[in-house]
Amino acid sequence: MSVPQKTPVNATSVIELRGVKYAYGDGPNVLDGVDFKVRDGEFLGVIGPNGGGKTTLLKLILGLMRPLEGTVSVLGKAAADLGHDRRLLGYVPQDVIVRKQFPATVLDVCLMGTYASLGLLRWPGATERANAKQALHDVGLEGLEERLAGNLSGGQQQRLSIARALVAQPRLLLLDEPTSGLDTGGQAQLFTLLEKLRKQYHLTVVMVSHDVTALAHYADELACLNRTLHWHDRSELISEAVLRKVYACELDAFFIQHQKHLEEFHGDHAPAGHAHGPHCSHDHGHSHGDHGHSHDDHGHSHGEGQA
Amino acid sequence: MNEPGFMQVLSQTPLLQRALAAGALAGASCAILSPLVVLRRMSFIGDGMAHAAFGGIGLALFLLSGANYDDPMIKLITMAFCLTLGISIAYVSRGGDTERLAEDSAIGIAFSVSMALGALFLKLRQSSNPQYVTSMDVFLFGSMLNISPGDVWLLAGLSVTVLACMIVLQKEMLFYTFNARLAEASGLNVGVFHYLFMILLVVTVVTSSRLVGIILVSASLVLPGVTGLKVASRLAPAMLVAVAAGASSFVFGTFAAYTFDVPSGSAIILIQFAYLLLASVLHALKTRHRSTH
Repeated sequence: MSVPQKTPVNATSVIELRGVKYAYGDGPNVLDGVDFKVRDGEFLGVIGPNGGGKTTLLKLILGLMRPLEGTVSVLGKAAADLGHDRRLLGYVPQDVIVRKQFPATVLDVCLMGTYASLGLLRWPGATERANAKQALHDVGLEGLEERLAGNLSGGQQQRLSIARALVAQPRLLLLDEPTSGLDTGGQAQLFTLLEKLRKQYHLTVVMVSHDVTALAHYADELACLNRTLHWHDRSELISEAVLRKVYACELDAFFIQHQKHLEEFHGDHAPAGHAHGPHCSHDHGHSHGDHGHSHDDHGHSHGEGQA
Repeated sequence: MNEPGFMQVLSQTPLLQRALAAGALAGASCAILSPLVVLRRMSFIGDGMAHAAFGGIGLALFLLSGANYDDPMIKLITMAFCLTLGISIAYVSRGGDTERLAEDSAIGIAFSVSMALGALFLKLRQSSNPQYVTSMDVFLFGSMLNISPGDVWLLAGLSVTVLACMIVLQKEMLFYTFNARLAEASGLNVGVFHYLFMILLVVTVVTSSRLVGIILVSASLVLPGVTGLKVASRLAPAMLVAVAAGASSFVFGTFAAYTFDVPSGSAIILIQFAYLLLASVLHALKTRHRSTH
């Protein structure tokens, strides 16, 4: 995994959540006592069942909502008060499909990523257009700039969404279920692309997904979110006993499948199937916040030393 | 020719000139907004808000029992009533998956309750103080023959305001319509655009429907927008095509009504529909041309 500079153990976190609670209206807590840190350049994968609070977690990090209790800080500020710095957070939402006749070309959609920093009455100029073309090139959509965005395939639209996030030159990339709706080949391509971009732009990545197999393979760290958060260091993933202990989830079916996929992964780097997330069916007590290990702990490359 | 031609009558009749100008301006104002109304699937709003205005008029006529339909205070109260309703609809329909009520349901409720209130207030006014209560037909179908020079200026001001807002906020409105949550996450103040768009719509609908009628306003909020979006593949050109279609339909419709002695409302809407058919054919040809190359 690329870690350009060695950061001390207590390096400033890019994202830090402390004792975060959230509930919609009078409903039960969707998140309850969530603590964690994401350090510069890290790739955190968050898995968990539907309704486990994954999207809520992303919205809190994006500052779209404030926590009921606790703090969410991003780049050293409260997430909800990021203001102009919000452009440093590239967001790739779940529902990216553009309607067939939406009046915007691929380049137009990519340029939307520059609108917030441009402000009122300023239009994308030569610099923004050059950046947008570079971002489209980075995600492999060069040559399609003048196409209607709605005419792209699902996978291409997903990459367009990433290009739109990239064009604002973010430090953080937050992705919500980016692999849903993609076939196996498309998913593998997406992960390979993210790896490339991460290294190229030194991005910190948080991805929320059902695709445990692929996340386990690419992410530096995995967390299972089901109201509370359970940490898991990727290097330990191989041990079923540890996995059970840390997640306290019903992982049997998942684990057998996972072992098989992991072996296939090492062979050809492509996920062979789509494993569903572990079913965290019961309350697991407290989360293991602030897992204090240095970057050196997971400075391994893909497919290395897991068996 | 025994009867004078349209142009001759037009040059000699200030009333017809005003009706034509007011129609073209109302058509243009509605049409500027129509591509966004179509893209945001708010087609129902023209109808809903225009009918809701009925409640405002009923209330105003009831409160100001000596005033008549054209009194400026009546217009003001009606506008205030509709703005309150519009902002309430915008409020309850705000916020993606946490939205309290879908926009179309909110409009449906406001529309029917407001109509009911309007009818109730009118009845109360008629029983207590029957003078100056115009038939509601005027409101449904407009009153092109009562248009004053002031009304034309008001509509001209409205058209310029709506156009200016759409030029200034072009990219923000595009992004907001594309995906509101994404626009918000990227740092745009989406709330401002959400409410502003609703306010522009309400002011346009209420001002125009009093002169050209609810039915033409609803048509002009949808048909020109669909036409523009068929012909153009970017928002700004789609708005321009919509404005051209909206304004010219009123001019040609009025001409057809005079020349062929047909109802002007029917002529205007059928012309808008003819534009749409033409645009659909052009769109189909363009798509076909692209797929064969």
